[in-house]
Amino acid sequence: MKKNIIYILMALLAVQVMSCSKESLNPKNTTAIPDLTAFDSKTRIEGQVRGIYATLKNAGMYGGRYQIFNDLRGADFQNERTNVVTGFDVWTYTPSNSSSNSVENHWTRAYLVINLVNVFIEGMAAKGTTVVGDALSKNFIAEVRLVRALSYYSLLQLYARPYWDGNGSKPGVPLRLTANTTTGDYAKARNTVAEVYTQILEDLNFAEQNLPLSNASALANTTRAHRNTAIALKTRVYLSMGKYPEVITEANKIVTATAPFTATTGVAHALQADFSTIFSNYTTTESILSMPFDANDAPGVQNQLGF
Amino acid sequence: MRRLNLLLLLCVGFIHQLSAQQKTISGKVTDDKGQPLPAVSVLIKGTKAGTTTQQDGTFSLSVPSNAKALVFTYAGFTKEEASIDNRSVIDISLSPSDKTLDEVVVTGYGTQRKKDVTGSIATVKGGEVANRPVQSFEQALGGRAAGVQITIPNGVLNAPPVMRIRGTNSISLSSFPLIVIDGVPVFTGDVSSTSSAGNALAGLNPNDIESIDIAKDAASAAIYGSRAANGIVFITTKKGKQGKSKITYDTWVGWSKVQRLPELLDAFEYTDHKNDALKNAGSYNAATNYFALTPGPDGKPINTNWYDVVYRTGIQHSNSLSVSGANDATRYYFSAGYTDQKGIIRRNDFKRLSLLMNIDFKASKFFTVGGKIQFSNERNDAAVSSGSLGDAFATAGLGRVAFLTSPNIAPRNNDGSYNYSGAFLGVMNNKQPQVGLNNPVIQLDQNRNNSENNHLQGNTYLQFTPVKGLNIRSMYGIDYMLVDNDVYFSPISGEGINSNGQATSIFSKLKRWVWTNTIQYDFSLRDKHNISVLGGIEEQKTDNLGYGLTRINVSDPDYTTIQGGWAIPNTAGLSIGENYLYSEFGRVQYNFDRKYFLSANLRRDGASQLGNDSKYGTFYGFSGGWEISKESFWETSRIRNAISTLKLRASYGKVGNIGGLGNFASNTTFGSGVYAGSGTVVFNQAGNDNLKWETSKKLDIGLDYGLFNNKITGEINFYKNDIDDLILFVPQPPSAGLPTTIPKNIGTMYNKGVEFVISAAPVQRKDFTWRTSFNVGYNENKVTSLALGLDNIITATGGLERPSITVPGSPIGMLFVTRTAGVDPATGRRIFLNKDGQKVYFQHVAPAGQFRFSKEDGTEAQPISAADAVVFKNTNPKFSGGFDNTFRYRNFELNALFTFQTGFYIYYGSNAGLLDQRYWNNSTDILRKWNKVGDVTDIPKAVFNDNISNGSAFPLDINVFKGDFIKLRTITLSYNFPKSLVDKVNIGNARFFVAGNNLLIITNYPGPDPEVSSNGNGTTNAGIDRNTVGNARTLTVGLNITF
Repeated sequence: MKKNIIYILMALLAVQVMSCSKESLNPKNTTAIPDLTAFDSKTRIEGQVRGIYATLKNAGMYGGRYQIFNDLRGADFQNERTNVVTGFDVWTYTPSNSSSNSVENHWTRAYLVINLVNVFIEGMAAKGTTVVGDALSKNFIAEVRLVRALSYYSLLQLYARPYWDGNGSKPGVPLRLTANTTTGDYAKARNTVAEVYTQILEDLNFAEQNLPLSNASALANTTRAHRNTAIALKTRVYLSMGKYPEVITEANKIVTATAPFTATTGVAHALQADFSTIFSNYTTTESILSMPFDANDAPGVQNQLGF
Repeated sequence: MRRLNLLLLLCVGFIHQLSAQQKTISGKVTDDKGQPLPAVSVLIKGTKAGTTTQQDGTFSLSVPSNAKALVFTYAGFTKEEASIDNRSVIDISLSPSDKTLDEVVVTGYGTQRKKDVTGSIATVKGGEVANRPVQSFEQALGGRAAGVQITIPNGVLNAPPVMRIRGTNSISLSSFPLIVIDGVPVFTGDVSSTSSAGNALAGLNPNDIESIDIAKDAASAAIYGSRAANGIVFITTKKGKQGKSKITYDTWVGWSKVQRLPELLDAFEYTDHKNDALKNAGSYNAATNYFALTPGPDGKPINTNWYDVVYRTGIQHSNSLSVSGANDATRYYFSAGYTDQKGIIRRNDFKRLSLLMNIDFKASKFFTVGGKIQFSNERNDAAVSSGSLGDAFATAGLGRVAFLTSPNIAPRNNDGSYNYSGAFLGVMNNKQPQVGLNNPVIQLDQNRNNSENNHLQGNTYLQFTPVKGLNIRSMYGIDYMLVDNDVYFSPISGEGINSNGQATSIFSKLKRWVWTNTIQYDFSLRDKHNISVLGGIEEQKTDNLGYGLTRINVSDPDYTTIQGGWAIPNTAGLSIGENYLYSEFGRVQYNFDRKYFLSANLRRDGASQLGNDSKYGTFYGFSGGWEISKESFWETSRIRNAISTLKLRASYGKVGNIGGLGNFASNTTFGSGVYAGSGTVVFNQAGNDNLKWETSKKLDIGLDYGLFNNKITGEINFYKNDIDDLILFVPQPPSAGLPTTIPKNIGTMYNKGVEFVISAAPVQRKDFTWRTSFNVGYNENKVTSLALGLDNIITATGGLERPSITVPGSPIGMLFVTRTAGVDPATGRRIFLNKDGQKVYFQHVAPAGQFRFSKEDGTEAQPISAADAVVFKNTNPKFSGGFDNTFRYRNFELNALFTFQTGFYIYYGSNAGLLDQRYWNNSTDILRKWNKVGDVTDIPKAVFNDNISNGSAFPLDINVFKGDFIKLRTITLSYNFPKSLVDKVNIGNARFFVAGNNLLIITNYPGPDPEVSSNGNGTTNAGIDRNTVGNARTLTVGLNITF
């Protein structure tokens, strides 16, 4: 009896000592993908491209507040019920340390998108391109660079003087073009407005050259970039810069000079005969880049537009 | 024999002397409370002749005439000698023996004689937390032990109390101590996902607790290594005791009420005041913009007291039954308990059914097995948010709704239908867009926020003792919680109206197993060297899982559960995770002749939550003690008459903290979402491979003393806890674009303090005794450094207002408010001080040519905002403690416990709302408002819609108050039925009591209760009272019976 118990106890101890395996101390996270394997398959790589669009779509940015904040800055908004929360410091032009610091929130959101793009570009160079091949890799990088351009463009509209003021010589926003994944010294001075526009155009020119002419479906043609998206965005960028001849040059690439005013190559963008169509169907050829909003594909909470 | 004694006793009554050689002595033996003691051994000194006392404590003994004295002995009581002299009747009272000699404390993986302890351990007996109107034992711990601060955060039933041992020991992680119940570290915190609170520790019926041992220093806690930094609370549940089996039945019923609510304007005052404010704003219009009374069903104007709508007298009761006993082979304790407590907030109920089974069985000479099963079903019910569980600004929050809703409207229209318009209350006769938030009656009638916890704790062990002193033990324990959350918002209620009704069910599961193998050898060398050696290995695995559905847009209002008919299903409460801890530990304890003591603890822990490169850490604690009063020079000196016991202790050690660290906090990960119908992969967490424990280096020096033959006992402790490697989530510049702040071991902080305990029994007479005990802990907390790029940590309340800041050089969680400089007597404007200390005058509505914010000279000033806030006052109590007195007169006993906390400030944010000049109702303080030129007052001119002057828009110093309080925490008057009476009905003991909880609060704090925390156990946002429901005052009546 006594001996048996000694054996049992010794066996228990042995089992326990051996059971402390490395796996138990490194449990698998079943709801997230480790950074080391994020570029291991085409699914994950393309998932990241879509994730970058989805981040841009967030209600904190193009999904709502970017547009709303532009409105709030106008003089036609009255704060009737003395709301001191949503967008309050944008409205008062006094960013403060309130928890709803909307001035900082948009800035943070835009740079989150920019960093995702940078992480993606570096990840493709390190591994992703060998997984999906050179051609597809270029398509993807072109897509995310277009999103990066759109993000920098939104930052310039809210946090810098317009281009016409000193021909872009005024302070713009810091240009961040490398991937940040951990702590570091991130001190960086603001680039000039012109430097940021130059980068935006560089990204869009790369996108124009490397994006597919069209995507697989009407939905994909609307929700993801193709060549004409890049050209169309360039017209807007040049408009903001006040470079009207360039606007015309770019616009001529996608709109014929005479009726029927449609794009002749790539996705055949054209105005809809009945303009109410675009409110029931956002995937017509009139929509150059639109974001999917539905119950299971929401842009986040509060202030989202179109949802 | 019995008859003979009886005969002798009768004889004694009449005859003084029986014979010359023999005489008979009779008498009665009682305990210190006057209760008769049966079976006391009564021996003639120097012989083995004697007798034992009867059931009623009487004895009678024939003694030789030359006998000098009688010796009375009884287990658990001090031996007494009574000289006979010429007496024939000797009544004597035995006092309980100095139990401290045999008393043991739990030290983690074992016990130790209390006298031998060299660490700092406070012990609270189970009886002190039993039969209280609380939901969990730690709610009753306040004031019981020096250095243990308990704050009941609000009046919501079963909200986990704030618990701090020797101050707040972490910034980002938990500062709640590790709770170990019968050897198993258990889950703590609120496990409810609804607006009801569900404290995980409420599963244990406080009446089942034998003792609570609180390890405060490194030496006593280091055996728990990486989890010891916040101290450890060891709970030992009751076990059977040798002797006849014992049945106990405890019952009480209680009534609780809310107290000290601020006085509000009634409908008439409100209507007049708001119209005045409209006029002051220049926007009053007799046709389109005014406030007005509305006739009620009785034709009189409606005058609603919203406190009555929200609060009630809560009736509570509790019943516990236990059976226990032991013989040489088996010890058992079974209990069943049921408590049903209704809170002070309507529909806030707590029900617990608890079962406990403790068994130990000595199977053979070498081998003991045992185990425990404890099951409880806890129901935490609420209709709607109380606004007190971290959701201070919830528009449904009942605490807030009761404050701000206009008193000139009613929850129901005159025809009995609900008064609502959209999500909010209807305005009735007021010509206003809004005069209230959600209608609380709709919510209280229709909505549900319930959480039900099926909770199983258990363990089983096998112990092998091959030779005396050597114990080899294997224990496996579990803590399982299955939590069902059930939320329903009616389509006509404020929260449900936009979604046309909503039902949410979330199931969550928390599972933990712990397997501990230890080997311990206790032995003595040459009688004087006492040595105890312990070694062990332990594994702990924790899994959590959660899933649920939120369904909205109901197809028929009769459907109120997710199983009914709804248009849209969404997922809710999804969670999954695991963590694992592997440990090796050892301990050596040595003492020489119980005079010199040494001990050492060592533990090596590996934890899965930590960075890949730093999974393992080593922790230790050393201590020594010297019982000076056992030295021969002391024992022979006269000082011994004054100082009978004196023991010096000192300890030092390094322990850790990982409490509350996320399972995968150190990993860099990509998460997922959806875009245009397809999956996404998004960089969502920036990790740190070097993430390791927070480290506490603790020094403790203590002195145990006993004065005048130990009539007065106590202890003094000095401690310092240096905390390094605090995990801070260091923000990077926003333009770096990182998805999350990165956890780094970087901050430093310390706590240092003094504890003082004194206990005495000043009066010990047969009929009257008085025992008293006082404890106080002084603690000083200071954050000494944060991180580069992190100058301060500003923490929000209710996710909105930010009145708390943590900065180096100050205690954690300072109040962070904008300063004011009174009210301008000339204009009634609020005067603010900007960041530079300059006066800025504010008027909500500026006439043409003037400014809202102006300087003293009338020129425009930069608007005042939260950006002008300064680091203001400390929120950590400097002193906390308790003062306990027990008076016994014959069968009556009166016990009163006062608790206190002083040296801290509270931000009474509710007061900002109570003076908000929107449609919100105001406290009667507003009647002091500025009215005309020359008025000197602290309340500015009331201008409608002004939410800046009194602190709603950003926190102001005018709403910061001293929190110092003394509370009569409990007062109990009890009556022990006389033995003669209870014997007749075959009962061992019967006690009846009347008790009060929180009957008296002495404080200058203007809010309902200075013992408050809007943010629960939050470390950096303590001392905030924002729309919080105050603590209840409770009266209970109960009965304890032992068979």
